[in-house]
Amino acid sequence: MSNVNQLTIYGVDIQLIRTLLKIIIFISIAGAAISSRLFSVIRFEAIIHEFDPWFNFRATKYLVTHSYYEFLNWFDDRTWYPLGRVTGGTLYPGLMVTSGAIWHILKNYFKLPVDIRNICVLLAPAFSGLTAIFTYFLTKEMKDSSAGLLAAIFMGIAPGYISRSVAGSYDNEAIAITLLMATFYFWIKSMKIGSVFYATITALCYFYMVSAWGGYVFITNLIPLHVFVLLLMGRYNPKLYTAYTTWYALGTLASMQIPFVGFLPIRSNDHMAALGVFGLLQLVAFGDYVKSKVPNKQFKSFLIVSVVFVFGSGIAALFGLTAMGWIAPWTGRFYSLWDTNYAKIHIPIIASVSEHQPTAWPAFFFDTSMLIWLFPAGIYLCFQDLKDEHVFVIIYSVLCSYFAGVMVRLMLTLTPVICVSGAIALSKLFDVYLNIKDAFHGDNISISKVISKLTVLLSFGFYLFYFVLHCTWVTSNAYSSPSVVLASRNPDGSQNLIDDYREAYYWLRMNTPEDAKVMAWWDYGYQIGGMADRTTLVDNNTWNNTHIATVGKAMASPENVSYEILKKHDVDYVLVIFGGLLGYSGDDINKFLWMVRIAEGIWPDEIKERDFFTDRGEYKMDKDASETMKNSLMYKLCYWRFSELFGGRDGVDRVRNQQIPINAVPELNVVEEAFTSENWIVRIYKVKDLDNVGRDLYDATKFENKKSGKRNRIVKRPKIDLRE
Amino acid sequence: MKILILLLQIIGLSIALSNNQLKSLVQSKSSKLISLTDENFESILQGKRDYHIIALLTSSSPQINCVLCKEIGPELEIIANSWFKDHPNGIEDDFDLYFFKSEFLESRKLFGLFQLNNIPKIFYFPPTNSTANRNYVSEKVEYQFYQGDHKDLMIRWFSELTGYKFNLYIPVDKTKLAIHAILGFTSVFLLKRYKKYVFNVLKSKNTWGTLSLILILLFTTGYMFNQIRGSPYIIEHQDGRREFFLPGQQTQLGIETQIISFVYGILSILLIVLIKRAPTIKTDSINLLLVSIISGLIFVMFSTLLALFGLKGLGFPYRFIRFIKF
Amino acid sequence: MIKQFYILLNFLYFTIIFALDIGIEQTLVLHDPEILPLNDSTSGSNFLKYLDSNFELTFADYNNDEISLFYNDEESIRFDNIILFPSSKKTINNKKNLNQHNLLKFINLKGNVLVIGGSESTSLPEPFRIWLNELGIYPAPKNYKYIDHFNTKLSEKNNLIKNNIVDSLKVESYDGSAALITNNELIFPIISSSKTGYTNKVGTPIDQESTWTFGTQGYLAVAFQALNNARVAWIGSIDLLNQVEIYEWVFQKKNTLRLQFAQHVNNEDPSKINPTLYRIKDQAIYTIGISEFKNGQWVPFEIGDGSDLTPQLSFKMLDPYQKLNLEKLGKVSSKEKGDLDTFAYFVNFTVPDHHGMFTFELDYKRHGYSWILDKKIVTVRHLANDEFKRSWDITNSWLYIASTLLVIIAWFLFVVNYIYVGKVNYKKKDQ
Repeated sequence: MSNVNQLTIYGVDIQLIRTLLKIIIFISIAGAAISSRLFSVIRFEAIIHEFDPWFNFRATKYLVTHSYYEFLNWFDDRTWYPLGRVTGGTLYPGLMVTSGAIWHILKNYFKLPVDIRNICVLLAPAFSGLTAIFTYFLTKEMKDSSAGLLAAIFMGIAPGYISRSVAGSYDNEAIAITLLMATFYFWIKSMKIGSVFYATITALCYFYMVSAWGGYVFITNLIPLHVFVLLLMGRYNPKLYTAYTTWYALGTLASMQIPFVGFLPIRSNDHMAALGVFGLLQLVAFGDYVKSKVPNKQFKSFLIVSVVFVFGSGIAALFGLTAMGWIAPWTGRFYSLWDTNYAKIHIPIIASVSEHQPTAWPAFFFDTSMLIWLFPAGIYLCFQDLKDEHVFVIIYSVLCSYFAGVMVRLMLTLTPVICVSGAIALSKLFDVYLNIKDAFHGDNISISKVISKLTVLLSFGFYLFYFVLHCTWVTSNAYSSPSVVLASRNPDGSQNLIDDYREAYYWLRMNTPEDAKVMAWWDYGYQIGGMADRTTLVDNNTWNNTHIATVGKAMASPENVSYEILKKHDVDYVLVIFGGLLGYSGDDINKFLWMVRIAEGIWPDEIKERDFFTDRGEYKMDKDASETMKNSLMYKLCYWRFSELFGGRDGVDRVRNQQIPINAVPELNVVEEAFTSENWIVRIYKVKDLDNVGRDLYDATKFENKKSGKRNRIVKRPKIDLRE
Repeated sequence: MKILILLLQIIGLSIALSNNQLKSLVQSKSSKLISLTDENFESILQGKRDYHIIALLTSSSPQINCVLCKEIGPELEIIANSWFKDHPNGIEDDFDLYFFKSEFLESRKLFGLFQLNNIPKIFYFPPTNSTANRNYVSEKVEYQFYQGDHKDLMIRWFSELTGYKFNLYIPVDKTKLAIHAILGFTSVFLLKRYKKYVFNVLKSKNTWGTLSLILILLFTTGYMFNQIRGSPYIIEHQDGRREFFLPGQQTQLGIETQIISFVYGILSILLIVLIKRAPTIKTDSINLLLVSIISGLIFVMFSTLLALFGLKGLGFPYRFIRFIKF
Repeated sequence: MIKQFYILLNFLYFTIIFALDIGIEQTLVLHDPEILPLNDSTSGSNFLKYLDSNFELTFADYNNDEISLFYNDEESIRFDNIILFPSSKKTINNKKNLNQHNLLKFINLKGNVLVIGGSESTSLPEPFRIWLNELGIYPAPKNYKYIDHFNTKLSEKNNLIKNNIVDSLKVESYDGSAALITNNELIFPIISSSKTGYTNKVGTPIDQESTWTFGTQGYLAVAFQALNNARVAWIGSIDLLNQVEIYEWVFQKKNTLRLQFAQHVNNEDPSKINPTLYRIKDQAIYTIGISEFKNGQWVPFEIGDGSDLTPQLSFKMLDPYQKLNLEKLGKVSSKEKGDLDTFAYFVNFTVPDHHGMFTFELDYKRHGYSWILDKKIVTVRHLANDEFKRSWDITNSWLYIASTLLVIIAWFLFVVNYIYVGKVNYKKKDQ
């Protein structure tokens, strides 16, 4: 150690230079990570993206305008009308609290009154810098600091992580991945040195993670699995015991402080592995103690008996408690991870979310570029060393590969381990080929050695350069659209912004009463709440399937049935998304089958999916469309006056490439058009009041539409429902 | 020739099997899903029928590779067997019901008659008094496939059409059970016998390493996607052209997983050779040769990978080598 | 009683300013001068006197082109009431202003209409018929007559339907037509045909197709009240104008109610009126005040005990969680320092143990009286994190508290034992 300290360059301590360089590198990495996430802000504006972030943003605004106490007990009466949502108790507050804290600190200590929106927009890029640093530390534990630096830069710009953390993507994952890396780093650290201090920090990070993202269950299972595998490998030691028990006890207690989590850690089966390993570790520790005290032979029989007993009683207890309802069964989303058909059959609402679709191979390459083939090499190298921490990386990578394969959105959790593993492989390569000492045989320079080294270094240098290009291209093209504003290209190449969503939401905000209730499919619930500030019936927090099915039923039913539902729920406006004019494929007609399916799940006698197909089983909107389809409220709302746009010819639905006949104009009886956005993407209808003179609205509309000049003389006794 | 066909048709008009003939035919078979071929379909379908018929037109041929067919076949068989378990001697006062399965290769004529473009199809033929030539073509009712539990959906459809009630008896697969039992037994036996050896394998780093790497390679190349979506292995066009790659980021074929995992695997192995093997060669020239070859191979493989990725058609602009037509 | 005191207190700062519109009401009388020159003394003479003394009247015949129902803005009505006398012609000249759509709009803007059906040679002009049909009233066409060979005189037993408007029949001989009505719930018949009455074209035999009404399916006087409380009555004959109550009712002089106030308070904090937030299991007090218009002024609307006129409150979220009869509170004033012009009702109930957006809904629909509808949406929230029972209050916790104490004591004893009891032994041994 003292030798190293004496090394100086131009009188400057080499350690100091090293630290300085590292700091500069970190700043550059953070700069790269943040700047590559700013595409959307530069191209559009500082705006919240997508769907869920709008809720987070709204909740954050609530937090900074109210007290924390009010936030914690927030009963949201602007969503899920009329059920409301116990929002304070059903959200992960970590994200909002983080940005709230930053807002307060900036305001109170730095006297910088920053708009909360800007904090929310830029939170994810800021945390990505931190993620890179924690990835550095984690990888450093695996190999050394050069691998760490590589991993950090990979993590900084890998599209798989950027996809969820661009500016404006104000979602739980934005800070959760940072916390994931931090928790893992501290876990490895504490496990390695058996430190209660580090284990406590692990628990704290874990608590923060629990407060921020439902994906914390991943940690809850991965760490016990790591310990379990180490036990199987016969690598039990008191350090492991110290680290795990400290983490588990503190972490579990802490996690139970989050209202949304509550008693789950001791009830839900998702958390049972952690508890089981905790128990097992006690037994192993006890066995270890006994072993040191009694002769080997006796110990063996003791071991067998106790293992059988513990295993048997453990399984019996698990089954017994589940059967008695003491511990909750696994959640549906959890099932859908293992039994991949489960969701398709049992939970249409999960299957309907595109994030829950399986991943095809291009997505992996798209999101990680060449790291995806460095990844197995890195794992192989881990197997070569196979220290305790390498076991962790291996388990993490196998498990997460599976999860990412099953569900697109879990790419996010796979990306860090790909970066770590890729960095290990690449730094090993650089260790070998950057070592210039090899090339010297005494005083001679071996030319062939130099050439071989240069070949490898230059080619991989080139690959790294390409990697940066790839990441930038992907980020810029795929992950930087706010999806609230759509960008398209005009024929001349100039950009054309389609801003229908905001136009419509703003219309709602300015032209409807503040307590108006808007019915729309749940995808738009958060946006309506966030941008239009109007009460919605359902939103992206899909906690009540029946209520969603009610909305589905209202959309899929004929007008008179829908009207009853609309009136019962005090709906004032109905909002639909229609892409047929523009060719915007993410519209409600394309989602319509999910509405039908979800509604059919609750009312199988009233809504039948097959009725919405033509006789030949096609999903058609044109002249062949089934009667049920033509009579459904959704069809009418979307195609109301649509063919009028085409000057007497049949209308063309550009999404489905179908002709909407001019004479098949749907008639609207129970609602009237209130607003249609520029490109017809958003159409808003006002629900009519009950008829003042007690007719049903079909008759009223018919009467309204009849020309007053036309006479119909009644001389015959009317054929009506008479009162006797 | 024409006369022969005419003759056959005339005969066909008169040879519709009676209910009793069919009943005995069914009773003699162990599987109650009787096969319908070019030889017998006329006699069963043509003319007057005093029974309900449900016919599955399908193909298990590997060339056609119809995923749904493979799913539907066994399920319909379960329904058919359950039906005859409930009604071994038919229904007394009402029309009987028979289940048929027609394999494309054995009944090209039948498929041609119905002018089928896609399979599987399930047709229902109600009892009829018509004796018109090929009356069955117009009398058929087609089943619509929907997502969900096929057995359930089919039964609902059948009972809608026939008005009968269906019970399901899902058979316990005895051979499967036996195989499992034998497998279990032998594995326990082998485990006992070669305990030490097995234990060594289990303890071996290499076993686990290989296993992990294979799993990772499969999972990261869309293996689960194939499993869940049941994507076809390869697409074969009628003119013999084969398609290995489907364009689009959210689709893929079975073979893509194999090709891509192969490419990834080779790249990883080359890298490991570079890291582990190359430095151990002390002879400079051989070292240089090896390193150059491997670097070249990596470059080629990586270029291939980029080209393959380009095939998915995402507007991806980067290539190392422009393979004109891959 | 303290609660009630609070409620009364609330009225003191109840500040809806309400001034009775004293302006003279405008009434349009449309008639056919050939049939009914309105200056001679027909059976409607008392009626005309009544009209004259209460309204500013505009007489016009059906062909008068000058008559328009609305002011130029098309959003407000020129007349408060319209009276339609029978006419001999089916068509009218003023179709631009007097058509079914304008008449419907007239009701939608809260105008009242009294329609008088004709005898055999008269009927209503076509637009008015179509308009009545929209409401669900189908009067017999021209040349039809209501005939009853068995009960030639109207009688309360045979003809009067129990209702809140007319309690006794003052007319005996009836010369007019009858109407069919639909199941529209806003219609309520007053006088029906007897079982033996029918309406037929004069001079033709009874026939399934052409005979208008058979037996009790025909009605001689029908009242209709739209959701906005506009009133319409159709009477089959000018004779029925002797039933004063009917036209008083149409002109909103009878059975006209007004909801002076509807409010709810939380028992915990009665000073805050109409709070938007409740907590589950809170005590809520709901109070309303109803006045009735009588003889030109608003007076308390008091209901006899147990009457089916008693107003009800439903506290609902999708479905009613509570459906309660309101109790009588007493006469109160709707204005500060005003007369006791309102009768207050209240109910006191526990908010259900269910969070969500609930509606205090007063949906008062009694045929013959003005409809009253009032909805107030409130939020019922769950218990906050510090509003649950804690430690000792939860009986289940006693076990855990006890075991904690036990462990503490045991540990203490163990320590004592370990330190002192053990040591003594050692010392003894050493000695």
